[in-house]
This record gives sequence, structure tokens and C-alpha cells, in this order.
Amino acid sequence: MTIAELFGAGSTDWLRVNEKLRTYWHTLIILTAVPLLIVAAVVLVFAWNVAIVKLIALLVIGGILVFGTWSWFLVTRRVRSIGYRIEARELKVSSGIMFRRVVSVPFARMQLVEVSAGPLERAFSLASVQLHTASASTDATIPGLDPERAAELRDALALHSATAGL
Amino acid sequence: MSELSSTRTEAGDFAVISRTSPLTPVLQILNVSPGLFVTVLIIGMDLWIAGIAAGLLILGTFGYWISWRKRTFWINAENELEVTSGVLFRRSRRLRISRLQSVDITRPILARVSGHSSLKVEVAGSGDSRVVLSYLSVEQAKSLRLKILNLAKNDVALRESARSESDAPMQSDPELQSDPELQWHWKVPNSRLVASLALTTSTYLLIIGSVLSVVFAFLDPFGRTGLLTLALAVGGSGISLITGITSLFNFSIGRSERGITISHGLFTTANYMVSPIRVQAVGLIQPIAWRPFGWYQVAINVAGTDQSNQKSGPRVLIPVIHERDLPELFSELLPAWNLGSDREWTTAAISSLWRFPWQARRLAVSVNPDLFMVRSGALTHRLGAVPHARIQSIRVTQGPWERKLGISSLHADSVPGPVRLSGRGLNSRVAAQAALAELNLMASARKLTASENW
Repeated sequence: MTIAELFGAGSTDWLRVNEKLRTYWHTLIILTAVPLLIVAAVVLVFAWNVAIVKLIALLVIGGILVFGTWSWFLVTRRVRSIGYRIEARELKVSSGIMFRRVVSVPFARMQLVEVSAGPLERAFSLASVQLHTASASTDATIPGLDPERAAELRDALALHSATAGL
Repeated sequence: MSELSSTRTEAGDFAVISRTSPLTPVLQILNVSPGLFVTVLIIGMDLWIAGIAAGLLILGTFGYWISWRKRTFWINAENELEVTSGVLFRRSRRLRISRLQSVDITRPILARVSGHSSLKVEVAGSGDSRVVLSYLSVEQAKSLRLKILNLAKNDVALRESARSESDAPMQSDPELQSDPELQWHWKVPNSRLVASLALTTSTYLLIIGSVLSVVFAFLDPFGRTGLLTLALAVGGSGISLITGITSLFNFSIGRSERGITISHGLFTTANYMVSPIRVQAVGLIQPIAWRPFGWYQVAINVAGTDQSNQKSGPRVLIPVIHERDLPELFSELLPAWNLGSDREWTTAAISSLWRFPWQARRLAVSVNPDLFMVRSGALTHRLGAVPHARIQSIRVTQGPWERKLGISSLHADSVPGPVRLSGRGLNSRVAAQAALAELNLMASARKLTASENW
């Protein structure tokens, strides 16, 4: 087992999330960046004569544009980096491009499986599955699932954790 | 509720609906009045403000009195502690005593002076799983705590006898009617506690602050920067030192048949009863200035404590102990945890010097048949240990800089607490192999300890 396999790169038996997640994340970037840009632009127009405010507003606009573009082009890779796999004893979730992580949660340690879908996620008919253990740092979330797939996964995980015993 | 028998119930019997001590509203208003007094002093004393403050005090007392009248508790027939409260919106909570996690007595200064205690009852389960009864008389709190502990113990015994299908009638143990005898106990000398706390991080802050103030005094001989820096350093380290000393003063720890008892505090005393099963991870911490003295602090992660509230559960098993006494402490309190024996350490990769220049030589993990252990820290040495069955999940992480160096971090997630088990700077291949080995060990350890929850 190499580190690449552990991180889920290139292996085919890791389950992937729905490609619609890209559109959802792109929309999210627009919905975050545009209102911020409008506010900054309004400040810029009204405080055109105050040098320091003008400078700050321009910096903020530049920052939003750079960061927005950067995240926009990373979305595809980020979506492809997410993988999960149900194994005999545990669920593995891998994600991240810059900061990579693999988390492995034994079924016997799962306390709660949560399916959530915010209003925007519902508009794209997407849902997330999140696993909770007694540890706060477990952080195993699988975003971008079809609602039916999310429900299936939740039921499968609940069944596994029930049969895994304690 | 006119059928209310009396506010002071007979000790040991909580099957009737009772109220907390009638002095509760007075203590509660005394708790908040210093804040009000200081506010009045800040705004400035005049007739109007004094009048408003007095009005607030009277209104507050009345409010506390009403809420005291409306708050009742009793142990119902199904062995649940039922607490009903609320003036406009009635709220009733039932805590199943069979799922008891802890029942602790705390005594804030005002309560202590007037002979009162708070009782905090916590049961397993997320959300609405704890209740604090403030204030009870000392005897009432003690007997309610005993009653709850006995019910919880009987319940466990009952379930065990049901499991083994023996129909022997439950004997009520006469020994249980009193507070349990300590089979072993240990006190931290206050002098050593003060000395050890004086030699921790706040000291570094003080030294750095003093050096900086001298530098500033040279750079700016007529300004006040130097003085201000010194004042900040002294004030900051002094406050943290005093908080540490007052909260950990008179630290004593013991073992009874019900588990580990911890009590400490100068003004506010805290008492905890922790079953060894709830101890999820143990850490040894040694700041640099403790090394000549051979002192260690033992920190613990305890399951079922409220993560948002630091005061809800014990975080320190013992604040300072000499290394020669560590074996005795562990053999008495946590016999299953053998931290002392020699372990085989997997050290961090050489390239991790670029990422962790100071502590790279200390960084290591150790995967043993019984424990997963992590070592770290350059100035403050840290050692963490967790039994395989109590690991919640395993994570391997790698940032961009770590990827360049071919290293990864291996984390064993434990319940929230002061002990973090992160093995950093490991060769990526080694980290992956250790993660897989650990997952196998976790699975077999879970089978062995299948009876305990987590």
C-alpha cells in the first residue's frame, strides 16, 4: 500500500461524488464573491476622495477577484479529490488537493450518521453525509451525493455500525 | 404544588418532590450583585443610578425567588432524576440514572461560606444530558449524590445478574450507605504546586517581557513603552499563575471502589468521580524548566464531558508529580496503562527537520500491542497514549510543504480533551503502514473489549 493509494489518488475502487458538486461550488463562489464585490464597489464610489478607504476597498476587490478565480479553477480538482470507500470494518473518506487527508472511521465507533441538504444544495438535488464519533476531530463529511445515494449510504452505515457491535 | 412535602427532605430519600435550598435566590442574587456594584461604580454614583440598581436587585431577587419556587426535582419510580423548571414555559427533564456518567459536587465560595453545594449530574447521551442543582445544603447534596450513585450501581448489578440469569435477590450493601472508603490516595504538596506552576509558560512570558522592556527602555529612554511592556508581562503571567494556583490548590486524588476521585480548588472546590473506563487518553507533559526536578503533569481526556465547557470534567489527573512516583500512580489508578515500559519508537523522517526544526528529533510514534503512543515537543516534552479500542478514528494528513518533503501526519482521534495524539513528520510510506497496522490493532482490540461502550 503506497501513500498514493492511501490518499485515494488514481485508484478506481474509491467511490466518487456527483460532478454536479462542481456547479454547486461554482454557484457558491459567485454567491459569496458578488455581494462582497458590490459592497466594496459601493464603498469605493462613496469614499473616492478618502485615500485610505479607497486603497482598502481596492485591495479588498483585488483580493476577492484573485481568491475567487483561484478557487474557481480549483473546484474541478477539489471535487475529483473526494473519494470514499466502504470497507469490511471501516469507512474511509479522502479529500483535499493542497491539504490532503484520509480519515478512517471504524463502524463500531460511529455514533451518528447525518444526512443534510441546505436550500442551495437541494436546488441542485445534492446532499451531504456526515459521520460523527465521540471525537470532535473526526470530521468525515462526504459532500455532493445524490439524495437517494445519501440515504442509501446512511442506511448502509447505520446497518454496518449496528452489526459491528460495540 | 401544594402537595409538596417539605423543602428539606429526609436525608437519603428523594422519592418525594423537593426543592433546592430556600436560600438559593439569595445566593444567586449575591452572585450577580458584585457585577452590578462595579457597573454602578463605573457609571458614577448618584441618586437615580442607585435607585435603578436597587430596583434591579429587588426585581432580580423576586425573579430568582419565583424560578426557585417553580424548580422541583425528585427521583421517580423508573429511577430517573426528574427536574421540572420554568415560570412561563414549564420544562421537565428526565435523566436516566442507569446511564449515569458522573455526579459531581462543586462548591463556589459563596455557597461554601453559607454551607451549600451545587450538584451536577451528567448522563450518557448527546444534548440534554446534564443538570445542575443549585444550591443544596451540604448534607442534602451528599445524600442525593450517594443515592444516585447507589441506584446506578444497583442498576448495573441488576443488569449483570439478569445477564447471568441468576435470580439471587439484590442485596442492599450496607457499605453503600456511606461515602466510599478511599483505598489509596495522594496529595500534591501546595508548595510544589506553586513552584511548578511558576516554572511554566507564564514564566517564559515574564522573561521575554522583561528582556523586551529593557530593550525598549534603551531605544526609548524617556518614553513609557518599556514600563508598559513590563507591566503587561507581569500582569499577564501573574494572572495566569494565580488562576492556576487557585484552581489546582489542595489537589488530592484517590481511588475508591467506584473509581478515581479528584478534588481541588482554593475558592471554588471541584470534586470529580471518574470511572477508569471513561479515561480515553493520557498525556505526560514536562515543560523545560521541570526537567531538572523530574516533574511531570498527567493530563487526561475523559469521555462524556461537555466539550464546550472546560469546567465540566477533569482535564488533569495530577498537576505535578515526580517521575519516581509515576509508576505507583499508574498502577493504583490506571493499571491497564503501562506508559513506563520501553517502547519501540518510529521516529520522524530526517526531512521533517525542514518542517519542524526544533522538535523533529523528538517526534515519534509507537504502535504497541496495548497502546498507541505519540511523542513530541522541543521545549515542552509531551507524551500521549491511547488504548487501541478507545481510538475513534484514524486520520492521515499532508500539507503542500509536507508533500515536498515526503512526510505525513498520523492522527489518532480521541474524545475532546487536553491530550492530542498527532504523530507528525513521519515518512509518508511509514505513516501509511502505521495507519493500516493501527486499524488492524483497533479491530482486534475492539473485539476483546466488546462489553464496554467506548
